[in-house]
Amino acid sequence: MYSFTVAVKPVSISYRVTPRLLLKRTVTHVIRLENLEKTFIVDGRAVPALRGIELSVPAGEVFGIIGRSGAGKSTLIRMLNLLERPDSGRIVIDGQDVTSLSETELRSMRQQVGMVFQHFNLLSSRTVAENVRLPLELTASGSRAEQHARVDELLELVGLSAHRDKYPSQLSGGQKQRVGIARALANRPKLLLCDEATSALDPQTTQSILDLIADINRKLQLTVVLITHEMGVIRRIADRVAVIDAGRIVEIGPVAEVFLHPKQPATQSMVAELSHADELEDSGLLASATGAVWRLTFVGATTHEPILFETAHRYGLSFSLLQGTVSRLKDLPYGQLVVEWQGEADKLAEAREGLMARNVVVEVLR
Amino acid sequence: MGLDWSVLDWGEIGLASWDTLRMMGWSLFFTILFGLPLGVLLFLTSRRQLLQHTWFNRVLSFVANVLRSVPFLILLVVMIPLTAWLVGTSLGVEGAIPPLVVGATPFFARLVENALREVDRGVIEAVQSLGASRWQIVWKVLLPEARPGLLAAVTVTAITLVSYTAMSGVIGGGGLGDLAIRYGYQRFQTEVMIVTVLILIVLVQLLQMLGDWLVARVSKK
Repeated sequence: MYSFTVAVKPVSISYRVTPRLLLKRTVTHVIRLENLEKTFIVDGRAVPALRGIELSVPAGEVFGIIGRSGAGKSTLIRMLNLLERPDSGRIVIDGQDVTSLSETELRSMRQQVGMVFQHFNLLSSRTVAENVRLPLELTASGSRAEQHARVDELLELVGLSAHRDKYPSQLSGGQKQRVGIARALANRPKLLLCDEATSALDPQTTQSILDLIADINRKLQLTVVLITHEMGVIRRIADRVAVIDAGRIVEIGPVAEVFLHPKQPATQSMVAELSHADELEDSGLLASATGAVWRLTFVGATTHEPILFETAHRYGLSFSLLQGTVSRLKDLPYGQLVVEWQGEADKLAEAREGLMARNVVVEVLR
Repeated sequence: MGLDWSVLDWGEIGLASWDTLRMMGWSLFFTILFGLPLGVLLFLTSRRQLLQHTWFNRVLSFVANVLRSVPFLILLVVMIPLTAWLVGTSLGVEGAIPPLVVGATPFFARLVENALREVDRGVIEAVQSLGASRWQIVWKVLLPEARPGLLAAVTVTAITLVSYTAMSGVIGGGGLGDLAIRYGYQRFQTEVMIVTVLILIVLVQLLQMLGDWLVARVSKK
């Protein structure tokens, strides 16, 4: 007993002294997918759903998977708790290859992975509180009183304490999804899977649900994987994103990079919907421009600087704004402006150098 | 032809009504006892369900269909030896119960299967994602979620049983059907026929109302 206490103490001390070191050591991958393949047989024909999927998600990250419907994203997320089995490849969750688990082991793994659904999938015969208690009943965790306390805590977390005795049919879509989230969190999972969690909700409710998920991610240090077909969802809460198209991951990286500099046609078209890039073509502004047209992209602190004014002033140029967005990617401010410049050619070249020196990405459109 | 209501023996009618209720009650009890698990099994072993088992499902389904396609009157007669062996008599209330149960169980099992099909697949999947066992899914999700449908199935079965009990009068099953046949049909006492039919109508109405009320009460959709 005595030696036990002694052995524990130095560890807690070292944590306080060198938190950075400890942090580095504990960056583990909650999810690692290796060469996942899945083919569905539909009416006797083989339809490939996922091909050569490779990805890892570190602990605490919000990882987004975006793709059009039928791209395979739903199949992919359902593989993370083995609601869908891969034909080949490895799925490693928390260091454990889950494809080889027995029935019982699989069940206890699933209890460690929460899942939220597009259509909420609540039990209509149970009240809000009873729905949230269900996972605790399934695992028979704690006494009845402890379960009650946990349910209260969860309802508090999702802001539904006042609705605990209502039935799902009496709730709005957003409230139902809050119940879904509370239910998914009941067994204190390490990983939360969101399967189009906001796709059935209106924009305002989507916002509040995304805020809630981001909040939970921060508060509970929970890893979140979400799939969506809306770039807006990714932009708002994801740290990294994978773009999936026809069963393959075509692009993967930090959201700012993928979003602001999409390389693949699939990504470009999805980003275009949000950034209105296609409207520029349609408006004819680009075709009728007489000067040099550049797309300027900048992130972080640069967003707050008067770059257009300073550039125009320093190089003796005039400019007009053809299109522009200044917004945020999760917590990162960014701007993307399409600017038409009028001035001498050598001054324009200098201005371009000057902008690039300030970490502005300059794409010459004309 | 004038009707003479004075020929009615109300004591006997009361007794017959009570027999009908007893037959219906007991056979309903056993029908649910056997039919509910059978229906659950039919559902679970069907395609894309938790215990998918094509052959087992086909055999079960076939047996259920065979029993359902035998006219109840034939079943009554065919079952006489089995009934006599089971309950010691093929007559009266006791004698009527086994054929009633055998006739109604496959019917009820199909209704149960249909009620379970109405449960949202997504809900079952969500509970699977929470790590529920198959047993837990049946008890905690399928049956509670299908409760309104199951109660409606019980109501329909109870009403079917009432009409079956009337038929069992043909082979001496007792109850209102027996009365109608012995007095109304064989002795040409039209009055008895009218009264028994009226009582049966009232009984069916009451059962339907009770069933509807229960369904409305448990339905949270």
